[in-house]
Amino acid sequence: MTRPLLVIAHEATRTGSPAVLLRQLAFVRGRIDAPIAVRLLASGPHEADLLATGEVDAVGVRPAAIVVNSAAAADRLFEYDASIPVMAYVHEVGDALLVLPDDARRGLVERCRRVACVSEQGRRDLVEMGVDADRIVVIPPAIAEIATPDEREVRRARASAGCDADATMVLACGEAGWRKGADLFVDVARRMTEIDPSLRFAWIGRRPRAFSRVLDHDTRAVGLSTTLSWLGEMADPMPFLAAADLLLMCSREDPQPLVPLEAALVGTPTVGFALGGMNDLADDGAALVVPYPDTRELAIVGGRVLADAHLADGLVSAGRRRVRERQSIDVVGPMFLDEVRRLLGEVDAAATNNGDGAS
Amino acid sequence: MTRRWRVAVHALDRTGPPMLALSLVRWIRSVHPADDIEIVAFRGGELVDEASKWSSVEVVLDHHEPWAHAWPDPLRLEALRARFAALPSPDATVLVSVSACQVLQVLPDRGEPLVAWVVETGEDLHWLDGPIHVLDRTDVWLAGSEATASELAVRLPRTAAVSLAPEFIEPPAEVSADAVAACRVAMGATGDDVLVVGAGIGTHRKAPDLFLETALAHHRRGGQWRFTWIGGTADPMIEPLRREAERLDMSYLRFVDPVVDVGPSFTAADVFLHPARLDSFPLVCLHAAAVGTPVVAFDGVGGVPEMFGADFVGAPYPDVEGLADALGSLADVARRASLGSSQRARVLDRFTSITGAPTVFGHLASAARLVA
Repeated sequence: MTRPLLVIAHEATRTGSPAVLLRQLAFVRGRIDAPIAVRLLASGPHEADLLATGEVDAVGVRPAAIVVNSAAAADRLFEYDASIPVMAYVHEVGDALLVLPDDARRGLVERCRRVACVSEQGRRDLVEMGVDADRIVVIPPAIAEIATPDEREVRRARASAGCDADATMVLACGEAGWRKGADLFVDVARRMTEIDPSLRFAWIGRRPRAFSRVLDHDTRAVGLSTTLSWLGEMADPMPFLAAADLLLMCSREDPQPLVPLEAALVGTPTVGFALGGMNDLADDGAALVVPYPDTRELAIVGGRVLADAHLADGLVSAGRRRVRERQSIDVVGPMFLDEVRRLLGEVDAAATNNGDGAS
Repeated sequence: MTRRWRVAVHALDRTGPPMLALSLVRWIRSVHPADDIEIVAFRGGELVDEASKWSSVEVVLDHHEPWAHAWPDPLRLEALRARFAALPSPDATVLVSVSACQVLQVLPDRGEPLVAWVVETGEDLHWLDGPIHVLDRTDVWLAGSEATASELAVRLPRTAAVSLAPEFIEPPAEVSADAVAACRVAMGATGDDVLVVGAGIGTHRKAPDLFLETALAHHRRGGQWRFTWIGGTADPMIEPLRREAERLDMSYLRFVDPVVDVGPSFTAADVFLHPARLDSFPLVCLHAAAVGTPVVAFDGVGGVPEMFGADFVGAPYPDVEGLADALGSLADVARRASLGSSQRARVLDRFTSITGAPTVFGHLASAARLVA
């Protein structure tokens, strides 16, 4: 039997990295000779979908090659024979790479023949970590094709955020912690409310318990308890993105934000801080950015976009163009597939020369 | 006859309430040397040795001992109660912060008067509703600030009277010019640099992250001041902030280890910036103002505005840009000196142990007489 491609995924949460892996595996499956086996290190809402992409059992498997999804899973590579070719798909940058456990860092530096990352910043950070530059390839995260949510779903999303048909809704999305700048979102909301008290604000995404106390305190302190809603994690965020008139990205760090592009696909423009991947989006005209942490300026720019339909349409069009040209699965799927094929081809060569590499 | 006072604290670490309790104990010891004083701390900390110089000290739990207030281990609870059963009854007990009520679980309840000196606000007042029933046990309610008093007015039964007993510090000691110069160097300031200092543990509550962002906002608008945060370096929050500062090329920002005596460091500062998200009546602001260093803070998150009255300088929480504006308003050295002087006068007049400790002690003594 053909030895499988083993995919080790660090988690199945409703976050960018597992979602991107799912899209890539769906593209790769059926386009390679080897069957896919999926090993999941932690569960989450995407668990069933991820496991369903596996064609053979991952337990006790003798893989022909290994793909680890996210740097955090690279520590598991030491459980396998060192001759098995490995690729890591690293979604982390900056701080998230710096705090990696030693084994995960060693796994990336010592065991991976190829390391894919999501942005040029990721490439720089990996080189700094010690990964050879000629082993690194940038594969931007794939954006899925999105069906426009129907009107009923959109109305329901607006209602859950306390918006009637005429209200203007400003949305933010992601794990509501310090890194995503959920506290800054509250401050921007306060400033925008000073200009237009009729605005309604909502955040979708899980709230870590400790930081949720900060956010509740802030929301009360600035008097937004009735106009800002913390809606929690949603199985399908698209109706909310479609329902919003503006997406606020208040992240302090985000290497390659997907949500602004998904928002653009359903017609919603984005403003945010000039950090990480938001700079790339701004360079493409897909978002307006202001210096971090200038919440005053972000509120002004957000207001401008809400007031200027032409400006908003331009941001949305540029976002859609970026997806089409650089981040659709038709563009990045073949890049990922090519890397996987190279990996499996190396196994064939290695097997001829060195024999069986399975542990 | 010798009077006996019990002072209860949640811990003897270097945080506000234990420091406040020590200031009270030192004042009682100096003014009423014949009185017996006993400190009971639910947990220990680095102030145990210092506290032992001024009173007897009992620490309830072992170092890092886990404890569930709602469901304490019955055997351990019984053992602790047996350990403290022999303690002589005090004439009255004062809880310095409502979180000190934790000691009530293990101390014998012989009906002695209990004074709760509440110095918390917001969610920290959860002890009022907790399993220890401090509402039922307390005879006298004191609030450490108007901010706390206004919250207690809502949360306590209507029949409970709350008296204002402002938190205080001990009058500052003289600091030598050499010590100040050494502190400035240690905090990264040379020559005519303007040095902004903040201090506290590394939590979202104390907000060293907002200190960083205020520094960033200041420099983005052309400012050249240096910023140093003292403390919290053992807390998980500080190291990521150091990396954040490095990522943002903020060579003008430092995080340094906590100091035992804040006097020299605060004297060395040109401005004290307190960006806390919630702080009822921060003692660090009193310490800074007491040595003449002007204080800038948020409005709407605690007692700093009432601390300084008309001399308050700051911005509504969470307006970081506003805090940077407030710093900018102190660009003129004469303006800094003038503000520092007026804030200092107000603190020395109202918020030192010379005026504050007699107020608290008066309530304690009255409570004792009530029962007697």
